[in-house]
Amino acid sequence: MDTITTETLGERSDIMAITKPTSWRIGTVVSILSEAPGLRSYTFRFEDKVQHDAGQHYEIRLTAEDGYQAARLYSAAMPANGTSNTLQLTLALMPSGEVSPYIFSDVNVGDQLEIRGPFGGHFVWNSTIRRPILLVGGGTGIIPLRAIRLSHQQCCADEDIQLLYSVKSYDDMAYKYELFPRNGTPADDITITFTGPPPKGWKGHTGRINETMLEQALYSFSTPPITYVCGPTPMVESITQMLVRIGQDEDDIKAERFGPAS
Amino acid sequence: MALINFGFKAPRERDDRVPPGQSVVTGWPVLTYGPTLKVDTATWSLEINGSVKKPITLTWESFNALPKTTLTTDIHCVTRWSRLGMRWDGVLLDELIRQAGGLMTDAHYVIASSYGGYTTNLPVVDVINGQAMIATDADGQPLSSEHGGPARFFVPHLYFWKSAKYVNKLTFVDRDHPGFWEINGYHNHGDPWREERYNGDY
Repeated sequence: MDTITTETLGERSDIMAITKPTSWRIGTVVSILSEAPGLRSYTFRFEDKVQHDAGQHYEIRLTAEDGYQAARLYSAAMPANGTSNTLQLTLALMPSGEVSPYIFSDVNVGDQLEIRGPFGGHFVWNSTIRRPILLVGGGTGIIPLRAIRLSHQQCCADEDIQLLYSVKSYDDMAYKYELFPRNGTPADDITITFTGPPPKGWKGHTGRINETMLEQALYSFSTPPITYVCGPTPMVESITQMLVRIGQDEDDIKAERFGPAS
Repeated sequence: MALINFGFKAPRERDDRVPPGQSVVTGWPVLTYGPTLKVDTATWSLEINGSVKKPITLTWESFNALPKTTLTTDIHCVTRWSRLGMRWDGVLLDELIRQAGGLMTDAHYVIASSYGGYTTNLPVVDVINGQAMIATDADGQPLSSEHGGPARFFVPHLYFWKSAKYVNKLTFVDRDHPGFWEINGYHNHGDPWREERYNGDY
């Protein structure tokens, strides 16, 4: 780890050099949390501190013995404000992919992976954005939105935020322990809709996110929010079009699309 | 020297057309930072201005009356997918520059601007001599709005964020002006064979 010594107002302070995002760093797996079938959160520890804006992503690179390399992008699942050496990435298993099947089957706690980042300067949130926030996610699109929600809670808990999350079933839900504790209902800022069979006794929304749900969320704010939409491409397409139709300014919508389309 | 991930192996068949760090897809992923735009060809226009001898604005009709070219090639997205052997139809930049009376001597960069406000910057040497077009069709179909239709910039030898969707203006300038992704952490040039992915890669 490099350190730079600077003179600040006559006082000596050691400021850690921020590692270049493009430099590959070695992260040691310190925990693997099973979130849902085919969805796991990997926490890595680095030698130096980790800092990113919520919504940013990292690359994991694998290298074979013959030198062949493959890398994939993964969103940070938790905020990192530069005080800790850990990074959490939530990975979805792509059964025919190159990177996630190896990680799911061969990487255990204590193993090391090459990681670099953070990247992405648009689908991000930080505390300089003084606007109410509407988060709309489907499936694994919840990953960067969860980081945004946690980051927002850390700095600006008294400001308005709403999360609208569409997921197939309770079993498929990521971060259940946080978004939907087993014995309760979602937190006040969270609306969930189940696109498949809902849990027993569920009285909330079912089916895909529709215009009514979006209208309820969008107009619950006293001033227009910035909306972050993340999920599979067809879902993001339909939601961003609906948002524009119900009156949201296109410039206030940030979108991130996952997965292939035709 | 990279860390070795024992047990990780290269796929059996590697294609020489695939740049380092890319994987082949057969579908066509969509990446746009905001809502998909619906651009109407009735009001569509394409402006070629800046350091050209005769700035022009083309309507959909006048644009489509220009000679079209077919370019069959591969496309590479910085998010690590490549799509091989796609057929693209459109009007070469060389033809559009000719329509605009040719370039002035101080035309060193081109800034592509799109409906919706997206911009991207490229050196002129990357867009002339049959390397770039304004494309209207991919694989024989008119470009859908998800993929940037009715017309998108097409510069296949650079990462695909350079191929601006919904393009409506090409401005030739003497000095470089980094565009939307270029100021948001991505590489200023974007050559997939050199893996110029992010600002700071080479």
